Amino acid sequence: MQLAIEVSNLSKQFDNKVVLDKVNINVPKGAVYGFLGNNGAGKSTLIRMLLGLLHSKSGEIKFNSQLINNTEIVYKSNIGCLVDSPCLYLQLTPKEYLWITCKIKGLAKTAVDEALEIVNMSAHLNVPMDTFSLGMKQRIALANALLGKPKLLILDEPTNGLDPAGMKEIRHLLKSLPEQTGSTVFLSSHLLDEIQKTASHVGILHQGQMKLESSLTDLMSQQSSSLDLITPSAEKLKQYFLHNNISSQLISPKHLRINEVKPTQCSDLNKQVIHAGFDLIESRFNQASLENLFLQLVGSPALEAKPC
Amino acid sequence: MLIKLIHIELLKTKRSLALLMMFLSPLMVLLVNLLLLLNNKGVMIGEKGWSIFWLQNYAMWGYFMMPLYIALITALLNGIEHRTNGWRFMMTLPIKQKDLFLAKLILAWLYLIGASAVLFVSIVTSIVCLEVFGINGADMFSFEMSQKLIYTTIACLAILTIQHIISWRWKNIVVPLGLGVVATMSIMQFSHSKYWHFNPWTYTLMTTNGAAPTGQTLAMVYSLSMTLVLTLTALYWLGKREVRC
Repeated sequence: MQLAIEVSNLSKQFDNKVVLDKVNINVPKGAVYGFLGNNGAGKSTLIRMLLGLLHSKSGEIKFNSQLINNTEIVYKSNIGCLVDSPCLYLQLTPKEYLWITCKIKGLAKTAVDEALEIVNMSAHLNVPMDTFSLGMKQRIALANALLGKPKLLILDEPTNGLDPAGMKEIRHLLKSLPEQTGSTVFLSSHLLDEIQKTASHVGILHQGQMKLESSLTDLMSQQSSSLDLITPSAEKLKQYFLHNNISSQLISPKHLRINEVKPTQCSDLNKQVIHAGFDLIESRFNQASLENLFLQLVGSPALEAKPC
Repeated sequence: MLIKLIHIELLKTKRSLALLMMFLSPLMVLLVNLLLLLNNKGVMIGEKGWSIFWLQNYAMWGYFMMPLYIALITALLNGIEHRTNGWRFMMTLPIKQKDLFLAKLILAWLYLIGASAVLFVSIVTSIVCLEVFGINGADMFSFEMSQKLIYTTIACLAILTIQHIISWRWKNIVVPLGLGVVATMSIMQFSHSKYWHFNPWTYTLMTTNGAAPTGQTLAMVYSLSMTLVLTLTALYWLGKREVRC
């Protein structure tokens, strides 16, 4: 498997605080790699290190098998990026702004029109950007990243500020890019649903350490759905299922979970419980999802803080 | 790459105060001197010739307006990046911080040359107009006076570099502007002292106030040497610096 990005044992600390701890990442060529993590996990730091904004003291970063050092700049010609909020010179028009990147990367001026058309901003070509809404600014920043169809796109929260239609457009665009242009997309987002719909590969970073890296297909196939049953007599229900060769797990005195359940089995299981004379307060089907997996791996600070 | 970057930096100043100030700053100097001249009904010009008018304009430009203009221009050129997180944008492109630093420094100097040219042309224009309106004097155009403007433009390189470094490093515009104002106020005190060499803000005054030729040459040599040392130090520092904004 050819790798577009290869990060090995990368560490970073600010004022004795370790932000990244021996991180390893492998992004295959042509993949849409969803990079997930809580706030403060170190995602932005890693992205800034990939782009040479921050320097590494230990570990390696390779782009297309080429080792990158802290002073290297040539590799950036093949990278389009959007880091955090859009950095726009608001007194300029989109045409003037995108021309800056074209000029530095040596791209043809027609690349500006193409990029603006992709993000549906052609109509605002010559309007100073200080009149633009947040969503429009985000589109311009995205157009800047897409200029010249770079081999690698590094995007940090690209759908920030976009309306639902805009988010859908960008999702389709990012998904289709590897096929259309052979690009690799490295995408960081808090929107797990967006990542699940867009990414082919996923990496989860937690407190500066990689918790998981896998293709999304493999990951979802390993995850099973479950059925949660809330009943006053969960212990008795567990025994009942045991007699019927159905394995279950007692979560609490009133909460029983049956693992590896298909959606089509739910109705039968519920009927079976009621016919057996158990009081069923609630029945909840848990679809395997990236969100569930993410919460299992990194937990939710809000949920952890909540008293039981 | 440097030429490309200067072109880009010039584009960034489009629709900003920089271009307006390039015209406004020298014209304000001329206006003040014109008012002084008209107030004494051109008597001094009749007695001493136009060289006194040239000198007054250059002196006011060199020790008052030019240092403030430099503080403003360097703050504006770097403020564009501070305001918009432009450092982050520029550094994700295949360019070096060193090149960007030099491009901004050269552009600031070009803006200064532009303002000096505006001052020169506006003085010539005003002299021609005043002659038409009956204020006459000898030495309408003096080579020596024009030479002073070139010397001043060289002598100010040191403060241009200092202000550029300060504006690059500090996001808050008050820091470079405050330094510019305080240092400009110190010019008169230092210029009469034997320690004038240690205050780069006095170098411009040494090239305009009729100091001995050795003083003028020293001021330019000091300015160029200081510019070289400061620029090399800044470039070394930038080679190691991370972009954390």
